[in-house]
Amino acid sequence: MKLLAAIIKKELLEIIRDIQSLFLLILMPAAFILVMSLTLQGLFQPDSDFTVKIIAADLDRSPESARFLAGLKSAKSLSITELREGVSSDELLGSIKKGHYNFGLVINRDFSASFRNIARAPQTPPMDLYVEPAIQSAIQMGVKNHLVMEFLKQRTGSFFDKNRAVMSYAGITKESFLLPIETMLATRYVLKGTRSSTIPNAAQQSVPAWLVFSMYFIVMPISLIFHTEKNNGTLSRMRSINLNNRYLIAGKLAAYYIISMIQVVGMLCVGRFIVPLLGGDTISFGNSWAGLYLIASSVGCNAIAYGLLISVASKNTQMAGSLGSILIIILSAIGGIMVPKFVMPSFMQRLSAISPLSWGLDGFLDITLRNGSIADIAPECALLLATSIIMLAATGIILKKKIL
Amino acid sequence: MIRIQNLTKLYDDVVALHDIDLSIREGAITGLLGPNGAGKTTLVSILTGIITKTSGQVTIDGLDLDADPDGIKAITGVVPQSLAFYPLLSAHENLEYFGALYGLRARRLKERMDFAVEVASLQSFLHKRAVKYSGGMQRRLNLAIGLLNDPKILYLDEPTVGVDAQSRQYILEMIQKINADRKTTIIYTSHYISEIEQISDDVVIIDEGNIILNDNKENVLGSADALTIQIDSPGATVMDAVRSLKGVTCEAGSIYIEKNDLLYVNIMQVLSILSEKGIGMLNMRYNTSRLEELYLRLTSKELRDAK
Repeated sequence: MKLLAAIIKKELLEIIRDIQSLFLLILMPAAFILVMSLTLQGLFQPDSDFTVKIIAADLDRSPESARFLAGLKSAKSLSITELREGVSSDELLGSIKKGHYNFGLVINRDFSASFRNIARAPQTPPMDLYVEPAIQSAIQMGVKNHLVMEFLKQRTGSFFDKNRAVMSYAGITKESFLLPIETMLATRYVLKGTRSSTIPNAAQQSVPAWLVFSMYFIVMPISLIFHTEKNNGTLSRMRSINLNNRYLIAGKLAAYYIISMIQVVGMLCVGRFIVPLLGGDTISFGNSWAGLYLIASSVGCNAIAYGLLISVASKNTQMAGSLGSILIIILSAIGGIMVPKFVMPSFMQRLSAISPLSWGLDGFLDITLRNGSIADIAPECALLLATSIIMLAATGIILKKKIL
Repeated sequence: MIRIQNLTKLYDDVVALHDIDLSIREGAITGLLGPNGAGKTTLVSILTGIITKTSGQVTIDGLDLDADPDGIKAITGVVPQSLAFYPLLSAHENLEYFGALYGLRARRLKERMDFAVEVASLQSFLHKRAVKYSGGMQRRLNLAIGLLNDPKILYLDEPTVGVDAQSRQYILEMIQKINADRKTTIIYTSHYISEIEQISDDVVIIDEGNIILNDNKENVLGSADALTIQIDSPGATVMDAVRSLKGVTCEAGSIYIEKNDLLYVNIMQVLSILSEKGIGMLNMRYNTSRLEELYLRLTSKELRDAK
């Protein structure tokens, strides 16, 4: 036990005194969480300040098109700028190309005709939408839905106005006929726990993924450990001493586990206390502290075991550095860190089952977002810990056999 | 003390050591010489348990390397050529760490640390991070760690690389003192042949995986045919002035005057130069053909790593 304590103490002293590594291990992930939480906030929050900029040209200049544009302008998430009369559509396209606007909307000359003649479908689209290609498809879909909904609302309103007498005779009011969208659908979140049913906010949805990703940053310094010790001769010296490799590996695992837990606490504190100070949403830790600790420990152990394996399995520091970081990026892409798993093709969703980052993400989402308990994250934790043990065993075998 | 029989080491198809037989005397300082790639490091790595041998038998202090490698490691100290410690830790922290790895605890650990610190003369810098030490201090710390387990056998691989003349002399004297006081068997590898000449009792020359010479130093060097003067501060200007004399050569604090017709003239001129520059003499003795010449004769003068 004293031998293990000596190894842990040595490792911790080395980490603490290496300012660059310390920055990489603790401050960088915290900064990363801060930036990602604030950056992604608008995407996930229904009442955020996030707005889509649209430049509009009304070629119809009719009361219907004016009402349509007024309806669009009342939407909080859309910022509509109308082109002056007589300005060509080239100017509209030019503004989008220059990056001043995300979308261009042209209301065509026969726009109002589609309102007047309800019995016949329009021969040509009453509107054209120009899209800046870099706009994400989810946002494109949202804008298209918004335009179509507004068009249908105005068209239905126009139909009601034309048939007001009949409607009135039937006892139908315009308010009941034009049902507000927000009253059509009530959203309920399905939680594993029961104590809280608050709507998940931007930080809660984005932080777990980036938290898991950041926890694997620890792989980068760890993957160089044995090469550094080989190059400075300390590994040879330790081999000439009667030192069991198990102690060596266990000491490094324990020291970096402590660092990993500090890393998690740092990231959670940033999400909880710093992000709200900068206008973002605070994150929830869920209802199970034990569950949160267990999933964080499992992910931490897995990341460290992976780093140690890379360190002994790679031929040199360059290979260790590249292999460590590139594999993590691939596993995070597969594991739903960068793109949610549910939007992936089905074979990619099946593939995500092999990524430890996916198991970690599911575990963190269960605890922080779905108010789950230890029982809910037990399968993920078991997988993470089992693979950690396998990787540590492989590290020991390679370390014993290989001349690094 | 160390008995090696038919020792062979192969790296894939490359023969690093070829059927070596070698005996190393207990309590002696044995200088191990050889060109780059000759097999010195492989031999020492096998003896210290860092790598395994392909075949052959090794017995150290009565212990068989195959049967009791841990027992051998327990009586062995290693001072690698590289600075094998953690530069962000202080000397105290490094010694404490490696002491713990050796299984030393409490009072015994403190005793051994105190001894190592005193031998390496690191008292004043004990709690300063090793990264801030001078080259000489780092070398001394490297050596101190190898002494922690009070080894019966101490392997030193180029322990004076990159240090100034004062530190080098200190380290050499320290090694001789350890050998004299504690009867430690020392295997000393160096490219500075004058160092081997200065401190070793026996000389082993290894080349292309074979032992080509293994004998007592006196026997190796043979009858006297030169005069050696050791000086206390070999500056470049002194060395250049001495080198200009015919039949006089010098290397790392030693001046060699060939035994020929000009011997007495050269002695007077060398002494005059030393006196003029205020350089003190440590000793003057007749010996021997120089070990370096013998070494080059045996191993040839060709560059080995250019082959």
